Amino acid sequence: MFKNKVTFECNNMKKRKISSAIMVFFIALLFLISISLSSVIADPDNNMGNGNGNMDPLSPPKDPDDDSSGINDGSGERKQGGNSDNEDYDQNREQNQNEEQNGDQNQERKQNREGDDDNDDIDDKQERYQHRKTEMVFEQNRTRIRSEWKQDEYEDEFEIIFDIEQGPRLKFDYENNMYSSENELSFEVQIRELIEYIDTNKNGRYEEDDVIVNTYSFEKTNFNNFTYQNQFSDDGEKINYISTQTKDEIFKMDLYFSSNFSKINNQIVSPTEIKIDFIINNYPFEEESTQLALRTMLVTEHETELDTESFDEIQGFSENESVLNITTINNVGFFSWAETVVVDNITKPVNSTIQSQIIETIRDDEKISNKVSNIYFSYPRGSNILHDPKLGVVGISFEAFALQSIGYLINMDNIVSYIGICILASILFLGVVIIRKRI
Amino acid sequence: MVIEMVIEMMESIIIYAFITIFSFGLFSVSILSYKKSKNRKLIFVSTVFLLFFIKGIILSLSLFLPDFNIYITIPILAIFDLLVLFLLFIATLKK
Repeated sequence: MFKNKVTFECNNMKKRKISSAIMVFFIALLFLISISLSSVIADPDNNMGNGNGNMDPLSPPKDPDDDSSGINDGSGERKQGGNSDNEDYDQNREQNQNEEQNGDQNQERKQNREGDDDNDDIDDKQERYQHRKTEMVFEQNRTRIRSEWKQDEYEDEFEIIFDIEQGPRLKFDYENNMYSSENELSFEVQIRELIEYIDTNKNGRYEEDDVIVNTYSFEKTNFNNFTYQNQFSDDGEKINYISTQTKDEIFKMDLYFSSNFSKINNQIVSPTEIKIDFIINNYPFEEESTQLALRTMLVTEHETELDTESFDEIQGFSENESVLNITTINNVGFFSWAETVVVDNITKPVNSTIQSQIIETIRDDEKISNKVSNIYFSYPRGSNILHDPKLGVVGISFEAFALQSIGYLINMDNIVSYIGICILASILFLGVVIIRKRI
Repeated sequence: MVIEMVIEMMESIIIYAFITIFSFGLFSVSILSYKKSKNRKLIFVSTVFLLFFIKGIILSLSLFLPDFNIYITIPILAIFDLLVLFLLFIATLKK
């Protein structure tokens, strides 16, 4: 009886010990699993980009206070004088004018680029990945550029129609297959007129209050037929060059684009954008104290947002640009411009004014709201003026390349994690078998 | 999208690693058991675990070799499951 009782108590003690051992074993195992996974799960965003520290290409930084375009208020009414635009815009400019800091950041980005055999500051892998197939149809006063990109399961294409029938006009259409909805984007940029004005408040920019002395409308101006050329960029990429100018040679417009990243005038032009040069030569000023402004007009059905840092700046492709982003849920198009202009071989700042309105039209019994943004570039007075805008889209090729890079980085971590988890699984399995044998 | 991708990857890593290791362990145990008991039912059970082990290796390879993914289709994985069911069926019915 006594012997049985002792045996029973010994068995109970043994079971308690084994239960404790199992608990400690599982807790230790969970702890080890957490440690092995933490390196991969912790902050995956740090792996974003193409290994050179760039962040999500589809997310240009947005200033939370930036309503500067005044376009997104949906009021449908024209902003009077565009003053609020200008104030906010000035504020943003001030925030963005730490040029030294930007320069350092860009330098750092450039230094981080590895695998750049052609020394164009673009990773060769990225160049190969984002290379596009471009087709062009040339006519005398109309050009159609069609550019396609396809890698793995992703593809996108854009089409640009450039015509000069009623003044220079660039119509941009883009679509991709990355998203199930909202995968299209379209906008139009029209180059409307040159305005000679008296800057009444001497703020260096054209505003509605300023007195217009003369206008030079491109709508009824005859332009020369397009000139086409194949040129080579600074880094040896083949680039397409299209040029046209007014018959009197006062206003000239040059377009540059390429199927790949190309370095033109110390800035990188991506294959999803077109570099434009506005050249004004010997404008016949009517008065001596007047200034000159160029009115361009952006028309789109999508939201637009003014930003003081363009996508190209974020990527380190260019410096000191402002941009009007055309955004859908999934896509970002842009019309950007240099914040400086070369006037008689001297670089000077450009002031821009944006006035927006919403125009509703009915097409095929459907009401369509078009946002029309008048962008006035106010140039310092001079004989030869050269300004440098760009238009394009942040193609999915940027995001796909970033994802591919992340995939590679994750893969390296994954191999370590996989081996770690295999070891842990083995410990768990053997632990259970050993404990089972002891019971 | 990136975070989702990472989480999905980690889930796959954990599941596939455990399938591979546990199936290999159980295969070894079942083989040892067969050697001791000479019960032929255990041959079928061992084969089942071996199939799971092969499946685990295939799935694990798919994590690290993206080109390999095109060969791993749902019907191919379903064939493995069918074979497993068939072997278990035989093991259950065998006297």
